[in-house]
Amino acid sequence: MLKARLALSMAALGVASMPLAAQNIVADKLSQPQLMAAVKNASDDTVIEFQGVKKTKAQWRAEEMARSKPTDPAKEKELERERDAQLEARNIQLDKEQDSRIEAENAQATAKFKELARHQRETGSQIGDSRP
Amino acid sequence: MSALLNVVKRLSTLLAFALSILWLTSASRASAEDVVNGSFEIPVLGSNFKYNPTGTGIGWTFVGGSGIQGNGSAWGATSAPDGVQTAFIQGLGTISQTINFNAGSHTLSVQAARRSGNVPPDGLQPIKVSIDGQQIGSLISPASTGFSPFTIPFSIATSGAHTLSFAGTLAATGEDLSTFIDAVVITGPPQITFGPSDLFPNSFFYVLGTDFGDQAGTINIHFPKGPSTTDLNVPIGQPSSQWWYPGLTGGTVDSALAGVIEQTVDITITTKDGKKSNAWQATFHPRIVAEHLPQSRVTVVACSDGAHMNSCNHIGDESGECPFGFATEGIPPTASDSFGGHHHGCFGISSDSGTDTFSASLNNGWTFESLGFSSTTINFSNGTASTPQTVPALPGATSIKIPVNWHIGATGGFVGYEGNLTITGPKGVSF
Repeated sequence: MLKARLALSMAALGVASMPLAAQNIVADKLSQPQLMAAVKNASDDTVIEFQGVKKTKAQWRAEEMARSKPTDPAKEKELERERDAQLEARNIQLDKEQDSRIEAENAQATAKFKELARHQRETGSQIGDSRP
Repeated sequence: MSALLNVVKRLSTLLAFALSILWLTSASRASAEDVVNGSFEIPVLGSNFKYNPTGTGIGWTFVGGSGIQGNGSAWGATSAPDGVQTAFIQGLGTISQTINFNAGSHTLSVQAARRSGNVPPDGLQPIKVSIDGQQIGSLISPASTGFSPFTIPFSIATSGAHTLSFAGTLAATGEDLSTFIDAVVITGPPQITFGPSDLFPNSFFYVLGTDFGDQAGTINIHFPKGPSTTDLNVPIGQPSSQWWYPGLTGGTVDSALAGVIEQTVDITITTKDGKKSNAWQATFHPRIVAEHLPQSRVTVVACSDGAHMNSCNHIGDESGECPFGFATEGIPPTASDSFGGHHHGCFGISSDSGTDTFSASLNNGWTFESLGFSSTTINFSNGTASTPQTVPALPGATSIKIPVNWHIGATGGFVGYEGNLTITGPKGVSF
């Protein structure tokens, strides 16, 4: 589960109703709710120290947003087109496989039919009005 | 193993074909309802006649005033329409024969003529035709001394031996009335004795049998399990040509046939005059197509809640707030994905792992073929999701579970993934 990894240096964090300007937040032990409340209420120029690195809240946010940028719609569209193309290729392959099998079996059945029809004619069996 | 099965199947097909040739060239090609000595050519009598003849090959049992006469005999009959001899029935005489019938509709055809020397001269001898003693059709009362054809349709309920008989009906004192009969033929329901073992859309097939008739009838395929199509009349022969013989015909299954699952089907033929054959069973193989499984068909079995925000197929929390915010657009899966998940550990907060599980099932012969999995479509931040192994493994399964293991590193971050399932199944059938 979630583990708190930052601590705040100021005890008042989480209770202020106005943004806290220019107050340092030092990473240490702090529960998640406390951390969230503290950072949320801090001003953009508040320095937050995490694992020895000090940056303002605005700098940390810029980095985080950059890292968690949303899916690229253009790239998603391209992937979707690729998937559709793969599906179409698969269907073409399936068609070819099935057509090939049916073609072979039809050729065999037609040859057999003609042979049987020849026997019917040669043995004088009752041949219908229509014949191959 | 499958190679061995193929060899066995090929051998079976060849054997069946060889047997069909043997069947076609043998005397046993005749239908089950063949009448023995239907033209009364046995025994050979020349221009003589004989009451109640017996012996090999005669086939009939003659009782009372009945027998066989040849052209030019003292009976004065018109020349036989089939061969050179006919039967005669005088007074209450009878002739009968036991015949093996297939159940179903039959037609008796016979040529009949009255005797020119009947007493009184214009008198008729109506003939009652019976099967097992039950009259079929109307009395045969030929008004002419020339032979005329008569047909009587009748039905046999149970396959097996049944007795056909012709009996005179008038024997008043002072009368001598006779009727000649010849060319007794029974046309039974068509019987299919050989057909295909497998059928596909666009496959040409043929059936062998008896009593298909001289003129083209119809070939029907019945799909008992449908679901969209249950009956299909097959064009005879290959496109635009008619291939129909009394014991052989063929047809081509509609190439565009869809909406039918793999199943055992019944092939029947119906003669021009409406007689339906027995059913020949074959396995129908539908046209197989591939499709993507839509997200709506995937169930979220479990969506691990280890991170700060968690969602699977967009079920869960996607609007939670991280201290530094996060982008909420483009959270996987996209609408075209079969499934996907998203776990966000806010920066600096969490190092977490979990397993999301999805499931899906298919119907009507559809199976899962492959899984495409992607975890590179978004810019991961310290998170990973491993390519899942479905349970059971693909391809071929009709019901699967998909466990997705994910992990977010020590400094938090997020992970997103999306999967696409390709399925195959019968064209035009829902999955």
